[in-house]
Amino acid sequence: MSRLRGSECLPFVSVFLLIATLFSLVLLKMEVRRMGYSVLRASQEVRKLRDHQRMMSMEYAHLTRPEQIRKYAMSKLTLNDARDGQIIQLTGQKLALPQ
Amino acid sequence: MKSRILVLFSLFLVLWGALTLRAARLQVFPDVRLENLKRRQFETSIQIRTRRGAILDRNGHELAASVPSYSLFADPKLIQNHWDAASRLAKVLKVPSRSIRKRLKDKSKRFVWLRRQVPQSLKDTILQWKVAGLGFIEEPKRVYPNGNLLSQVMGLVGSEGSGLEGLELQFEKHLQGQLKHILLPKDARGRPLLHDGRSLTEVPDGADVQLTIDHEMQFQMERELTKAIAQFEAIGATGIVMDAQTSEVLAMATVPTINLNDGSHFSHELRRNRVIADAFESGSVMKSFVVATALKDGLLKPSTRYYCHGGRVKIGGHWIQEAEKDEKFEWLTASEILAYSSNVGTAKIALALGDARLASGLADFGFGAKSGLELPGEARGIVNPLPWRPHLLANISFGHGIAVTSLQVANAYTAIANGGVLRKPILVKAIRPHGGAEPIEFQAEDVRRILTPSQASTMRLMLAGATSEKSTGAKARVPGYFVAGKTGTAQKVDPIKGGYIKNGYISSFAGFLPADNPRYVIYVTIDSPQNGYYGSQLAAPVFARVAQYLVRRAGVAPAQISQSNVIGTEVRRSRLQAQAIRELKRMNSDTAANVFPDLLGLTLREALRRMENRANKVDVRGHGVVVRTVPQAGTPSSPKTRVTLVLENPD
Repeated sequence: MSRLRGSECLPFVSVFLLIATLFSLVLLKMEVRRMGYSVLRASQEVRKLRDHQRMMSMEYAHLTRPEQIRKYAMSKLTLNDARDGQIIQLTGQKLALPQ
Repeated sequence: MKSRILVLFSLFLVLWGALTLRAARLQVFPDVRLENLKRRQFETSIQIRTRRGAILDRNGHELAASVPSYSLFADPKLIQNHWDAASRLAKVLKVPSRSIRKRLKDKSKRFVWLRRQVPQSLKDTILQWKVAGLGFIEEPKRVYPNGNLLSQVMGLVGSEGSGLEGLELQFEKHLQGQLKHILLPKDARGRPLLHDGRSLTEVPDGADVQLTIDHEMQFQMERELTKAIAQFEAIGATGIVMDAQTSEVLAMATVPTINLNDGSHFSHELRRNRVIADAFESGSVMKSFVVATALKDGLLKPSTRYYCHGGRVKIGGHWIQEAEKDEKFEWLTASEILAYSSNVGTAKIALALGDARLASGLADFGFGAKSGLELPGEARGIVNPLPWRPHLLANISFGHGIAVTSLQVANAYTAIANGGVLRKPILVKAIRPHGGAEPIEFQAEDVRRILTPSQASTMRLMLAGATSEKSTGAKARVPGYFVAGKTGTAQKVDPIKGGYIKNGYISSFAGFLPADNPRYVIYVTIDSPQNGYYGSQLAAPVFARVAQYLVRRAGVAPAQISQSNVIGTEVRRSRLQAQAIRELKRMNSDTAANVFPDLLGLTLREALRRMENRANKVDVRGHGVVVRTVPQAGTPSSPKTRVTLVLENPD
């Protein structure tokens, strides 16, 4: 009896499995699409951050240009160019006089 | 019951089978109409503009790079209140409201540019207004963070992002960012559907171009040249520094410079890279190559003597004379001819060589041909075709009647400095693509050997003599280092009328150091100075200052050791030595925290700076420099010890 019932249910089970598979496929596809939107947002964010990094690196290059460092050294640190006689070169056991 | 189930099952089976077959047919057998329909319905095209590659100096310092910027446009038909929009835009764009209103009023147009390349902050402000009909298009903007540095070498990029001049043009193929079109599936709202983000983020940018230029050397060269043109009231100056061993160009300057961020507004005249594009008569710097050719041909030795006719000789019916009337040389050796820059002596060497041999010698040094540097617009120079009349031959021997570029002169001196090999100079060290591709690296190629190593060594010694105390190049000397080089003073050719420009000169100095083991080759020219004109007075000091900077920066130890400038530490202790030794001791003693440091001779500021890491309270008495301290230097002290500094005026 129970075997008969089982075999009678087989078509329904098959249809159920088929429909379940289709639903799963649709759900998976929706999930992929949802993740696609997340990736789109994330990749836009990556681009934005890369652009920001570029701006920052430009700012860094601008601030560290020799002209700027020189200005800063002279105005803020009160440094100046070495004049003749202010540089002493040490060469091994010898000492070169002012240049 | 069973049969009904079977019928139902078969029905489903047939239906599904039919559907599967139809699907399989659609998939397996292509149908153009359906394909197009699908593409229209489900696909969208997006444009990705990749970033233009950066230009870097030899140490990776950015000289040019592209950053995103946004260009503002309007669709006048969609703008409802153009008065309001124009007045708001005028405020932020800082332009008259009327000019914007005029553009917004014309409803027949659907697209007008309002401002190209505005910063992100301005874009955000305008978008907040939510005015229909205003929009932005992202465009890359070329930025030169160093402003004027290396301006004529870098060139220009047009508003469409393509290189127009200089390196930007030469390496366009590698630098350019690509505009890529990508087809992606879209959703009902037209948004692209991504399976991953790579298509938006991993499109490689244009390759970075790494130069051989050192941006600090470049700055120093430009600074010295700018000072020189101000001092001598010149109209311009050029300078080039090359690595003597690798033929890499380390600095290439043309002043006045231009601001690259606003480059297109400068005249073509100012934008020209005169180091490679201007051919001019360079004067006596060419004498070195006449002597080198004669040396190579075995015609002379450094000690070979030439009669110089008291400073004046008639050649081919024309008088050839020394630069100064009081230079009445009689007998000079070849070394002295270079040292005193004798026109008559060099002319006699050239006459002995003959035109064919001299022409061949100059061609060997690269004159009359492009050097092959990776820059557009390089001039060949002008070398007259053979035969040369004796007078022309004599003129060419001292740098007149032949036009050369600064690069050619510097490269020819590099050949002498490196042991006799002419190389193709290089300005680009490597091209570094993004996206994992292998970098392309460049090295200078040997063109030909001109001199044997011993001949090159002899030339270096002779040129070192040309900067000795009584020589014309004395002002090019750098204390502590052997400098080899030659001055040049030439009249400027009038390109319109012909002949020479009255009071128009180009002063120059070409040389290298250290002469015994050259590291740097430098060539400096000053165009049309008003205060003086001799290369020995104008260009040589500029050379010396640049050279001094280079050797100190590179940490080249002084090699010119003699009793006059060096004293053995064990033999005599000069005041200077004692001071230096005391400084060293002081540095050592400072490291011992429980010993009071030696502050004698320091100013108050210097003394306090040395004390700043200590917790001691300090009393100060007097002004000037520290003459006494309590406690004394070297005695034990604790943070609780009260310190007294007694200062006195050194006078």
